[in-house]
Amino acid sequence: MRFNAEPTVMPTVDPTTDQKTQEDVDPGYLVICWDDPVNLMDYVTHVFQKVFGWERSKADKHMLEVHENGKSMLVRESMEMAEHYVHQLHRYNLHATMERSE
Amino acid sequence: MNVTRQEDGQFELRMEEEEWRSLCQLLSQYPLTPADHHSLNSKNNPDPGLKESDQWLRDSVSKHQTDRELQIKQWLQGIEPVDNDEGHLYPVLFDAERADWLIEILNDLRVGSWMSLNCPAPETLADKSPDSEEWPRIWIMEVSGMYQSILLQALS
Repeated sequence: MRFNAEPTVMPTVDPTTDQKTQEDVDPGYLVICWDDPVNLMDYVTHVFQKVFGWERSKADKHMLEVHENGKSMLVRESMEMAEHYVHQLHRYNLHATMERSE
Repeated sequence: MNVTRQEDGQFELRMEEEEWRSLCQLLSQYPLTPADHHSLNSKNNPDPGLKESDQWLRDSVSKHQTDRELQIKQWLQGIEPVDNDEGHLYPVLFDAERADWLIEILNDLRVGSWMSLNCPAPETLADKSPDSEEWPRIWIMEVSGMYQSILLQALS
């Protein structure tokens, strides 16, 4: 009896499915958070800590950048991850967008 | 109303009956922020490739709001009053995760009511003489902000 016998029926692999495109994995997208006059400053810091897992000091730095400069570039990520972060920020009602980095 | 930290790391928000009713009234307004206002795209530099993703984002926010609405109802139903000499007290126990959940909900109410007031700048709002339609929206915006501040302070 062979315990390591090759299976006689092999799964078919479709190369067009479940494969990430180059754009999906390239860290070519910036996630930007924009200022608005309604979100509390402490709230923005809290959200950055929750979404990105940052220390308070880093979250505060980006929050102040949003407040003083009107926006802050938060992370540079793949398209997939940038979309994920923008979704999270929108769930918290922060005004976030993503764009291709130059 | 005050927040105290318990030995097990949980927080307790002890509310008078009137405060409890105002919180229930506030949360019953959820959601106020329209899902179709969300966009991944920058207005100044729109990427046509993200149009489909925008719709996905709006659907996702909409679903998220529906889930939250149900969770709020369940959460409120689970809070029982306790009696003291002066009447009912509502001890609301929460951990950091529950606080985050509530802060996010309150923010939807704050942002949504602000949008329904045509997104005023803070100085414009301070000078405003609100009419009877605007008063309730300002109340929601300010009271949500107050509760958010209390919870954020407790967490920090």
